[in-house]
Amino acid sequence: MSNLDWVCVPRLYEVRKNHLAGRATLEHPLKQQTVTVVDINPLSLALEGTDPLSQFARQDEELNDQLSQMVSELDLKSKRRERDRIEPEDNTLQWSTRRLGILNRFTTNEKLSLSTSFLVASGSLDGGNESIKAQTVVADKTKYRLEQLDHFDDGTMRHMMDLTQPEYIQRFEQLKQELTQSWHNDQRVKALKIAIQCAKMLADTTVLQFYPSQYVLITDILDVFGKLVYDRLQAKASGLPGASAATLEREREAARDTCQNWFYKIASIRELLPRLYLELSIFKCYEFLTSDREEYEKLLRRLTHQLRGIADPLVSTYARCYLVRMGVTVTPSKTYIRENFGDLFIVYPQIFRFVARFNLHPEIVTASSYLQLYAPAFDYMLLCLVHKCELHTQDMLNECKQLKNNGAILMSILSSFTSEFIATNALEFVELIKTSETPGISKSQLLRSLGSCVSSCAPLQEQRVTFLKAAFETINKLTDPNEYINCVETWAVFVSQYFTIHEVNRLLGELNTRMCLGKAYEKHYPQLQNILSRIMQNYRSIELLLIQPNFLPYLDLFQKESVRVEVCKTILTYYKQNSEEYTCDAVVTNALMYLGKILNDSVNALSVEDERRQISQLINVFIHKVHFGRDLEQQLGFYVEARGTFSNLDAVYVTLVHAACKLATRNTSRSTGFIKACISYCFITIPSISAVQQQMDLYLLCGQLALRHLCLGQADACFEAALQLVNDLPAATVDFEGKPRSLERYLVSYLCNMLATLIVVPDSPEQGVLYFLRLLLDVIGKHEFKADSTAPSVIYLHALDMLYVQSLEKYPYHIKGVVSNDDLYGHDPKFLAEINNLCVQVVDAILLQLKALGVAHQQRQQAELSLDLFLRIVRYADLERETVSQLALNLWLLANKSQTQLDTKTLPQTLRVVEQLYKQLRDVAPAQAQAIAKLLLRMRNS
Amino acid sequence: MSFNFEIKLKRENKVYYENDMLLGCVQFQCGAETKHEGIILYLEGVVNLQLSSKTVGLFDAFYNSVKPINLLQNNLELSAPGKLSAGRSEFHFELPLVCRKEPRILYETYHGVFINVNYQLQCTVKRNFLGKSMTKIQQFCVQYKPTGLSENSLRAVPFSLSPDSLQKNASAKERLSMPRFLITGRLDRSESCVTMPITGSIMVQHTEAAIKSIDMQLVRVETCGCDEGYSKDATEIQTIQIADGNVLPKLELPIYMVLPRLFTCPTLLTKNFKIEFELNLVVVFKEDYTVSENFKIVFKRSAGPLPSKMTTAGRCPIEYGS
Repeated sequence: MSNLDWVCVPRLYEVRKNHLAGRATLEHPLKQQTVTVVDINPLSLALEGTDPLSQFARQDEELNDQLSQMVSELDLKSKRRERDRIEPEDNTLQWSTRRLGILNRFTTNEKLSLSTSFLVASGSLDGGNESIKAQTVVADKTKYRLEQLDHFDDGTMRHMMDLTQPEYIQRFEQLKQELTQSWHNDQRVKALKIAIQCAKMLADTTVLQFYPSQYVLITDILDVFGKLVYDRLQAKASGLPGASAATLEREREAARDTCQNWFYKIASIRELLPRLYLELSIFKCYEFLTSDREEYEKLLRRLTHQLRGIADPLVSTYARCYLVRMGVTVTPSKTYIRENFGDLFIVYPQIFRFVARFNLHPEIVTASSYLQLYAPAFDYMLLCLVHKCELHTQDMLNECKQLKNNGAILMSILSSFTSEFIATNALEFVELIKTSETPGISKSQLLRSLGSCVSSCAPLQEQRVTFLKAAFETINKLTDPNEYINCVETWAVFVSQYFTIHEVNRLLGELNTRMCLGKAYEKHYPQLQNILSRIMQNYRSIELLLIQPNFLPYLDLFQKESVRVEVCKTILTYYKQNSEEYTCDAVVTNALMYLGKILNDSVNALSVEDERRQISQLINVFIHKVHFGRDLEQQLGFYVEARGTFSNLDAVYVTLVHAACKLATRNTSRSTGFIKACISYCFITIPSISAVQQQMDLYLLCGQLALRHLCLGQADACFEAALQLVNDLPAATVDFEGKPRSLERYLVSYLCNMLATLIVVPDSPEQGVLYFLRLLLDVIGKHEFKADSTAPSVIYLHALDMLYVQSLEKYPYHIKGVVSNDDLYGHDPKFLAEINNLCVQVVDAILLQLKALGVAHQQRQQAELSLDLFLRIVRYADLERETVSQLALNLWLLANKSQTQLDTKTLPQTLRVVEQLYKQLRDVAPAQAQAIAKLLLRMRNS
Repeated sequence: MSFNFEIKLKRENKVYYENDMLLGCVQFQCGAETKHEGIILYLEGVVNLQLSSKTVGLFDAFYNSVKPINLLQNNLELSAPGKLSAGRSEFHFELPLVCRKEPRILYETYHGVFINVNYQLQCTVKRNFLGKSMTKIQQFCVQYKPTGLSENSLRAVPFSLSPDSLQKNASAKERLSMPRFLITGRLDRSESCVTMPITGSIMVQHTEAAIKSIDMQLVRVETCGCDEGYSKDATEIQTIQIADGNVLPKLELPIYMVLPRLFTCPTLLTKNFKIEFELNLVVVFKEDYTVSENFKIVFKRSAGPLPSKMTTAGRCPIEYGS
């Protein structure tokens, strides 16, 4: 069909754009309508903030839409604020929050033993059931049952030895159930006996390191017992609803009597410890006997005194803890707690007699872990003492000073007293710690604790410097690097929050020298990391930190590659979050470059994609923040340097190219020298990127930029490079979910973009007419498309569009300053002939495609394509030429053949378009109109 | 022919003083009309004495002297033979609590090992010769009216334990080989009210041997048949631990013992029997030898210094919230 006689016709009608009517709106039109329920259920209240599960759920929902995510983040924040407001309920003294911590902290691998007459080992029970099945003789059965009864009632103690910790815990769970069950089966005496036996086991300290957990488990059971008794009495005393006053009085009297009986029964328990524990467990029941607050206090003080009879300091301390725990629920008075501490201080030296023994026998338990056992009890009691009451704080501190070996108490004071109090007396505390010489409690532990206190609440401004000096005097005396670093860890926040950069620098310097000794750093990476991130988090200016002389040397402490990379990432992350918008300080930039370099070097062929992405993102942020103001040369210089540094990271190169392009647009001088420099920078950078797609995009971008700034040579080079890459483009890429995604659609849109650009690109004198278009067609011809793909046809159709525009006398758009082909050739007939020639080529290519589609039985696509081509012919070509008009008619007929495959409206609409064109041309170009009319007639006739 | 009945007392706590009127009623719940041969209510108050097995053989001669002592004996015909109508019927009664013959006093209710003082109401429904008689029993408590403690009682009883103070069961030589120790303390009073705890304090001044436990033992001393000879037995009522383990020296430990109801009563000294109480302070050392100190103690019933609500309102059967 190469005999096609194609001649482009001039466009004699106006092309109008039909703009859509816009409307201002406040809502994102694509945002999903969501109803956020502000639910404040007690469960999520208990957890801090939102509970993690529902948070995930919410996140999932929000991932659907970025915008709504932003909105709901706002919601969340306000919700949280709301929650903070409605949470005045004070549960600092609640035991339940502590018990889990204790259970997790104090564990053991040793075998435990337990003595009770109420647990039948589950194994033997099962065996029993089997044997009863086997025995059918009635007498035997009766005998067996009697035995069972005996078995239960003889009350012999069974000693369960060699229990592992989980088994032990499980046994107590069983006992708890047994107790509750007995109670509900009206076997209240049995319930009481279980409780007593449990309490007795609190005297057992054979497995010391488990004692606090043992205490928690057993007091749980006592709590259950106490609650059962109390609830029962409560129900009794309140009587049936609607009872008369007289009966109610009688009921109350009866409840009182019953309550009295309980106390009588408990008072007759032989052993001291269970007797006291049991009385405490039902202490709340005293409210049925008296309503006098003073009476409670008297009772508590009596119990306090009785506790002196428990000789073991650990056992008695925990018993006191239980007393305080029960006491705070009935009276706000603190006197009895204070009295408990009075007694405790008398017994305190006894504790250290034990410590001395364990110092000699560390195989039983080490001194320091023995002292740790006391911490939960001390902490809780102290907290109760000072809760909402400052009466005894100073007094306790003074008492503590007098005490020998005061470390353990001091430790608990630091963790239980309010930070405000500690801040006020900070200097005193430092002094106390300095002189404290407690076996089992090191100074570093105390200092560590003090550090976290002052971090949350700092001492007065004028005391801070003296305080810090005094504290570090002691800290620096610590010889063990482990102790030293653990201690400094908590102080980092304080120093970075309340002091100038000089102190921070000094701290870093000291750490450098201390940790270098004997390569101490090797063992303390987590602490060192932690210190760094605390400083970064709390110090106001991250730039200032970066330029400290001791900062980068600190980084050298991280000799292990993986840790080093982690640290660099952390620093850059903080930089991303906290830094100023821009930086131009060369030292800061250098430091950041250094960090980035470490990260870049850590990336290798084995790095995972995500790691690469993370690192690139961090470096990109930094690159974006470097800004030298009007000194564009320096900026470009920085980009050059960055390119040299971050050679492993494609994403950084992409950013650099974009940044250079952006930089070019900021050029204000007349000369294009700088722009050329920028573009050549890009041109050199782009080939280093491995993804072809990104290269193509960037080349096009640079080409367009060069064109925009009249650098024609550069533009040509870019376009050529871009087109040469097309055939390297893979058929598909792998997307995030690992599915292959075809790149044909991308290629189509990319080339359309390219064609639109090429319209204004003037032909270069060295190359022939429309060199780039030819090149493009050539590339397309060689490119391997998927079979049946419409992609080449679409590209050819657009190429036809482009060619037609080239034939026009005046192009629809220009770039200021660029002389496009319309002006260059001045509508030269030779040029036009060349265009017509090319048109024929393109049409031929399309017809080949049509044929291929026919062969592949793609009727619908064939029809659509033929209609597209038909319309273009009608518009662009001179229909007076017979070959052209015949071709148009054939195409029309071809489309009609597969009418059923097309939309019902398509054909009539196409017809209408042609008719409209006729109408438009009727007056301006009668000859042309005539040809169209003729074509219409033939279309109708056929 | 099903019917059920119970004796109800007006006082919830069932505690009465001498000369009180015992008020109450017998409640019948009958399924159908029921015939009976009379309903009789017996009031009974008895002191039961028993000789311990170790004395029975030796003192057979005065076996007679320990026959029960009747304090109260009264009966009341609630209904002549007749019929009980279907449904609920009540018979109210009113009986004076007075002892008319020797010893002309109602002793306090007491449950011991060899001596029991018991008060009860018994209601019997007589039936024709085919049917068995039916009986229900209701016990109640008698207590003395509170009286003040004597002047003496406020005086504390100091004590001290050391090897030297152990004259009785240790020879001088033994005492020398003993570890040295000194334990001092006091009982707040020698005369105490049964409703109030026994209080005092104890302090280990010093000790060479480690202490295992310090206990306070309450003992009843029951004497039967005082005229013709007697059997005297001391039995333990309860033991309460005061210290567990080797307590710190110079630390004052409180003595605190709540007296068990029913098993204690005001000290009673009569012609035929005696109920007395003693306390034993027992110190057990690690090497398992014990040292003890005995205290005589007199119980009275007085209005205690505790607020009225805290005093014991004794109620007979011990009950745990059934």
